[in-house]
Amino acid sequence: MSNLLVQNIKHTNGTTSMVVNSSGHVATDTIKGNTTAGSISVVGEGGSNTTNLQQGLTKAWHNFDGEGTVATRDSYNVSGLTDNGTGDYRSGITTNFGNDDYSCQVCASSQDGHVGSIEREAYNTTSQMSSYIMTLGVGVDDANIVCIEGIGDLA
Amino acid sequence: MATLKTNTLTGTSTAGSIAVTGEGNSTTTNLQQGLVKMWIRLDGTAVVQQNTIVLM
Repeated sequence: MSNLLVQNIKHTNGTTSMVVNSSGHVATDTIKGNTTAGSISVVGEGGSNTTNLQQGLTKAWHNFDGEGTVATRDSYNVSGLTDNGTGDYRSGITTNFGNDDYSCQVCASSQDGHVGSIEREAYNTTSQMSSYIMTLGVGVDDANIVCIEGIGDLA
Repeated sequence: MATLKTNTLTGTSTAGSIAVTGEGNSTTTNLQQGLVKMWIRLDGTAVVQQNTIVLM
């Protein structure tokens, strides 16, 4: 086996593509597919089959307080939060999905008791995810902790 | 096809931040923000931690 000793890999125009640091780690700021920019295969845990990097990434997630004055605790790719009434919320998306057929998961927690949570397909668009919260014995209800994630094609 | 073989990926500007081009081939998403950090499949009939789990 031959060894190529290198620290920086650059394009001929001088732009740095990646850095090999002193630990041997490949350091880069952006990963893009070669054949198709938005498609990269990753060998799976079994060492033989592959999975798709882009398809496996959560594109947006949102943790917020849905009681009283609603407030975001933490998020990724979320532009804002709208309170549409009791137990009814919308999470705006910064970088939109490519279509509205993405997979959306909602979970919620409340001191009021057992909470059920669903997405409202009719209100899921490329630029917003919706969540709807219900408490057993109460019906539609605000929840202290609401978490929503979207997995699907990015625009 | 070009193949990259490595055991560890690190951001250059910020170690914990790598952009990945999305399915639409134009916008990017963040690798670290999108990765599932933990998952568990458990047997719900078994007592996991008797001191802290209240069976209902």
